[in-house]
Amino acid sequence: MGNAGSSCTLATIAEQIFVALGLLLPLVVPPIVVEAFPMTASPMFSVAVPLRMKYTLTDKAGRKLDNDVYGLRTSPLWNMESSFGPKFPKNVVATSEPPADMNALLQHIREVGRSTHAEFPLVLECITKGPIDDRTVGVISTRKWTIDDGDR
Amino acid sequence: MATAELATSAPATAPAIWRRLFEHRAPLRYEILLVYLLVFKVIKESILQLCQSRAEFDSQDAFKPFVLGVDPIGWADCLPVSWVTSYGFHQFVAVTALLSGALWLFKRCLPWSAIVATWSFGLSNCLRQSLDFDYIHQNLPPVAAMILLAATYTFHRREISRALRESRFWETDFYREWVIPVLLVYMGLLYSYSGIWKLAYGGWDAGNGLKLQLIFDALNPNGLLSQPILQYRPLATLLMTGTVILEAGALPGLLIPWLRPWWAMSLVMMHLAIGISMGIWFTPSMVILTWLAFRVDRLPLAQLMRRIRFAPRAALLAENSP
Repeated sequence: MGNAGSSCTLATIAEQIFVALGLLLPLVVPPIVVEAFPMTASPMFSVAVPLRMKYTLTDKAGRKLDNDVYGLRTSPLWNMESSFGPKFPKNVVATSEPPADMNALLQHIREVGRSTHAEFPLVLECITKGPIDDRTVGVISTRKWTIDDGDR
Repeated sequence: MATAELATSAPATAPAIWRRLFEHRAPLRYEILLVYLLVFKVIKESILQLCQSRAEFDSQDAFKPFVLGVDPIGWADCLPVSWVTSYGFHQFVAVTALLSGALWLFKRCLPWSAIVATWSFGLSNCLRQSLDFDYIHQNLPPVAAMILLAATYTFHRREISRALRESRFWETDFYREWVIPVLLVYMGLLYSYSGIWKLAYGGWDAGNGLKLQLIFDALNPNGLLSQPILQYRPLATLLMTGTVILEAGALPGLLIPWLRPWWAMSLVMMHLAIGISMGIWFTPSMVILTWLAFRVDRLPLAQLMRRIRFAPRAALLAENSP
């Protein structure tokens, strides 16, 4: 294989530094700049998901309310959300664990409902999915709570 | 001929492995990758961006009423949020990427067209990812590959300029070997980090099929491969364990030459399975892995590219650049 036409000049210092950085930077940068490399430092399927909770909130007329407004979003990609550009409201529920304090959760929903002028009573439904045997996944439980507007 | 030493531009005193990185290479193999990147990524995606209506732009996550704000990602991090959320600025960057990508494709205004195309395409991806996640980070490998090719056009602009002027572009070995090892290290680390973090988070349970089943159930329960995975946990565990092994071992798997085609094709199969089952297509990674694993320039069809002749005056800017 010939080298016809090339000038055969020595690689410049700049080119050698570029190559050295090209070999070293992928080792250092992806775990640090997580938001630019979301699949590297916080990849999909990395965190354990023993259960998956799904919440639905409806108002008096049966209209579905926005989970994001009430902090009821449960995304299977929740561990990657820190790498998203848009900043979502803080969740009050976890994707794979039941709420630690159900009364506090219902009170939070009541307060958000009041501030957004929702039509009470609200109905919160939580579907829990998980292993139903040693082969398949399915619905383990469905629970419902009715939330009135308290002392107002 | 077989024993002849290949030309290298590294200093004679440098270690042999370093000297190998600067061996000269013919352009055909690299230009095939460049054409894919410019046509199917830069030009196509810029046109799609320019066709995006104002209403479509405003329907992205960042503009939803409950969202608290926007934290610009990557190269957009230093820009004002008002620019990052501006429809006009997105369109301006897309026009810049489109024009500079087309100029690079036709070997005009070098090396500036290469530099601007890479910069504007990378910025365009960061801007899009800042407004809506939507798996736009699948364009990280194309941006990395474009940085390497643009660097080649910058470091060797005079060689390229002379070759274009003398109509000897395809006969001039202006590429250097380092493009491939640097890209292999980049791709290998990207996958290996992903596998290692899965092991770090999950330990021996990293290959647990239950999480795969629950995530499939949430994201795409009716996909082509979803039902067998949802119905049979041993299959889910096998796929999850295989993915962790493939990803964690990607760096050595891609760097060892005899192992490279097998490992790269296994990763391509993994992406195909994800695409079919979840609808998340990492096509650029599949193309780059295939390009790294095989000598696509030896295909008869690839040889047709050598018939392309670039206009000699395309070289003028490169010749005069500092």
